[in-house]
Amino acid sequence: MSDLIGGRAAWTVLGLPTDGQVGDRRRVSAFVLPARSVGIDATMADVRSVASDGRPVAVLGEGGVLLGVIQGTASQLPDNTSVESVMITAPGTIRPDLRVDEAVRQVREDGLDHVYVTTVSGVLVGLVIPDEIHA
Amino acid sequence: MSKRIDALRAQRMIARGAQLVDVLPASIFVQEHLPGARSVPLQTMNAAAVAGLDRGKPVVVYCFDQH
Repeated sequence: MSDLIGGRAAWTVLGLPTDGQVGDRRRVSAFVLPARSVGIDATMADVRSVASDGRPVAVLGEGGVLLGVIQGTASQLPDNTSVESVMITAPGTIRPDLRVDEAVRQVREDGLDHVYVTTVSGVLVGLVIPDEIHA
Repeated sequence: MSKRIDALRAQRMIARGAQLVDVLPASIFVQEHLPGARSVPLQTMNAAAVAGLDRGKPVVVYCFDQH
């Protein structure tokens, strides 16, 4: 007997086919965009160097684990401000194997325009912007 | 004794005739399952529930994610 590591989620995240009553089986993994990021020891000067357009910047810890996010509203803070002191901790995340329709529903219910995608162990995969997902 | 395999290996085994067993609750199975899978919910698994499996062919078992 063989045990499928990661179960059904490991299958669907690869875009492999499934059967059943669920209509739209497309997965978040097919729509993940690269996320801008800095390390936990970074400063606002580092944030500005990776994102000058006001888009959010992910703050990563060891192993690429998502620890927080710097929103565009923080862009006026002094260069030497540590991201650790101003980041929004533990932002909401979704998994790559989540169905796209479910992800869009969740993000819209939360009133957000984007959401970060992480593995079950919290490692950042990227972000999804519902408005950029086309039917 | 079971062996742990990744999704791509499972896909190859299934293509070669391995039997696929979904141990999730039946209500979840109905919504979505891997093609060709047989529903044997863990809570109801016993000798009778798996009697229909071919002992001569490999069996791949899966649940939802890590466990």
